[in-house]
Amino acid sequence: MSFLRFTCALSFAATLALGQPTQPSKPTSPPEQPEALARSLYREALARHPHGALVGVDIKVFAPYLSTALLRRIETARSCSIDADQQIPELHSMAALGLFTGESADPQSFQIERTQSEGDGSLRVYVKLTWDKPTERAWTWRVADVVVRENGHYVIDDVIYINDSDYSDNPASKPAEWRLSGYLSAGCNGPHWIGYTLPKEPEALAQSLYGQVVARRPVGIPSGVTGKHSRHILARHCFTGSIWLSPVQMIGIGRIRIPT
Amino acid sequence: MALACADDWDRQNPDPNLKPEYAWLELGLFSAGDDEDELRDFHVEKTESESGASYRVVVGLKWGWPPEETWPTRVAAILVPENGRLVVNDVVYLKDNSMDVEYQLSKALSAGCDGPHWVGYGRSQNNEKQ
Repeated sequence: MSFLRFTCALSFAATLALGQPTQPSKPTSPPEQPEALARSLYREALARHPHGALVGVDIKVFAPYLSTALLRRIETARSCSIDADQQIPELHSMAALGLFTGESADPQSFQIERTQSEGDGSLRVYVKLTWDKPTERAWTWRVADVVVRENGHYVIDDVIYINDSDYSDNPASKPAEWRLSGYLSAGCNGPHWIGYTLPKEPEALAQSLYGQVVARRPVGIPSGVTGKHSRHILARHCFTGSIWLSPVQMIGIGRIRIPT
Repeated sequence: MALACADDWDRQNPDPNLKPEYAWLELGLFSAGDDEDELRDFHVEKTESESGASYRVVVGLKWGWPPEETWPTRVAAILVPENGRLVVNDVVYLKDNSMDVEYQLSKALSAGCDGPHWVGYGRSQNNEKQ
């Protein structure tokens, strides 16, 4: 029952006129420069919508972009997901968030915003993602790819799902950054599924829950093209608070929906 | 059950242009809001012990974005023990300036329903619509 198992993925085909084109490129090897690397990755990601642990063709496509450590985490997460399936067979393995987008909804366009050097030698490439559907309000969110050098090439070592919510009223309540690496290992002890641990104190539980509510602003019972099953699972987990809540207050996985 | 009832509404109303009538459709389930974009912040006000190792946690919500209008509301999360841990069993939308009467998440989920069957607001046991 790891995060990889839940989905409310939305499907759509339209591509925005603005933003980067989303046709997948077919490089024999990923570009050498960080921004170009990220651009190429998101073209693939928006075309392929990778949710859950990468398997099959997806792993072949995305592996060249990723660090050895991240690939190892993905492999471990896959094992953990299989373990969860064996422990809880009534729940079918399902993909949840887009690995590189941090959202269940698949964006149609993206823009590389900037690249920033970090003190540890890594780079962060900030990417703005846009979801838009003709009859619904468009929204954008941001992620930051953590790019490192490995064997003479730039590769993506992690993805930060940026929480752009406004915490100016109460900065102390701002949760820690939520990352792809945390998403992959949530509920897992290595390859073993151990489940989520929620706060045991009522006030802490409510604090955690409403941190999620403010960050994600759920409306109605979540739905998705995968239909009743995912709606049921997500709904159940909304009510039990066992999917979005974790000891690390992983609220950052939800982002403010910014009208565009 | 709410989803089953919603599916039943869908079966009874196959016209895709009809807006579903179930009460939770556009409801912020945990906040009682009808425009979640306006939800800005929260704080836990107090925690009260109830019978059976349950708790009622009152949460203040802040809505609106300055310099536009802002307003507070309050809800109470009802937490109950289940399988050795606390889980949310219901949310009470407390009466305040924007709510004339107290309402509950559980009622919103079952309004217009008789179990998994959509019966409309005139016939359900819980015939209120928020």
